[in-house]
Amino acid sequence: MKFSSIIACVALFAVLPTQADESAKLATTMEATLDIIYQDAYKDYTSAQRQDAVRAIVEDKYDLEVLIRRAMARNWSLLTADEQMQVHNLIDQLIVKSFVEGMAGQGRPIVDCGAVIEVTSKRIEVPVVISFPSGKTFNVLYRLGLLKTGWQIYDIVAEDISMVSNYRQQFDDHFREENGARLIEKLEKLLKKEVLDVSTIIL
Amino acid sequence: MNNRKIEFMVGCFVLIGFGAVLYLAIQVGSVRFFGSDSYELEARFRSTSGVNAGSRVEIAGVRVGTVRSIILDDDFYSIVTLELPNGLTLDDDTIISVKTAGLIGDRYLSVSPGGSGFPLEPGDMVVDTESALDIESLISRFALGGIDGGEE
Repeated sequence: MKFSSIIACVALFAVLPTQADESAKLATTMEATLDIIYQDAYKDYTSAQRQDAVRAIVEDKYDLEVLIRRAMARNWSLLTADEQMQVHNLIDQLIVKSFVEGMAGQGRPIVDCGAVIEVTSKRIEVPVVISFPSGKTFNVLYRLGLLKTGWQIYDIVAEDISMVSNYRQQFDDHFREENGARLIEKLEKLLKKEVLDVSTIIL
Repeated sequence: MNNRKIEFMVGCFVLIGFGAVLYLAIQVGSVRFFGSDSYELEARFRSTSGVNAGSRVEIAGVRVGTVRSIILDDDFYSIVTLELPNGLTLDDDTIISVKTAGLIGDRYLSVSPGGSGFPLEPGDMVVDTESALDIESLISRFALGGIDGGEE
């Protein structure tokens, strides 16, 4: 085998996403987003600046559209291309805003990412235990699928409740009676709320 | 001549009896001679407590299928086999949840169809599932607090 072929093989395996790395990647991303909220270096940041910084970190590692499209399911095709882009941006902002504002006033949690569980060759799960200084502990399961863009989070299951399933139900209910334009109105209204956390996001 | 007529009548009666027993056996055993009008899917759950073979499978509250069997796999996951009608096509981002009818009613499986455009084939396994909500565990965790005993 030529030396250049060996180099090419090494380079290929270096960029191929491996399952074992996903737990570490998730832990690094979560810690980086928590740094934005809790580290002194960012204490002068406004909420909007924090949201931008968190969004940049998350979007650098993961494609949130995978999660959004899965929650929208067949309702996604009921939207026009322009509406799809708007809904994507709005939900993207809502997720980040609810995270930043939901963590405000709470002590920094300890995030413990467990070993990757291989479900199939294209699906893995990463169990995460989030422990707050108050003593509350939450078990969260991150479900990842292997796409062309690498391993992407497609669902987050907190205490056995799937985020995608929960929001899919709400989107289904919405589209039985209303349309994409009305959904955009609702999402914009939610974004304008002063205080937002995950529990308040009800369409 | 009279005897032959009686024998013929008895023969007919016995044949009708056999036919009735055969029909009953076919109906009870759900035997199909001309291909099946249903297909099976598997689903992997952390827990299917309260779900049994014969439990309902619903979409939007409408019964669409039945749980055929439940087994425990080597990794201690519950593997449920569902029987669904051939006319029902589900995509590979379908989510199946264990639900309870009312507060203390029977457990059943609720199917949330996806929209990926990649249909599940007969025999495929759905891994995106939600297990039964463990009320006792939730009450003990949120009412009694975490094991660290920290203050809220």
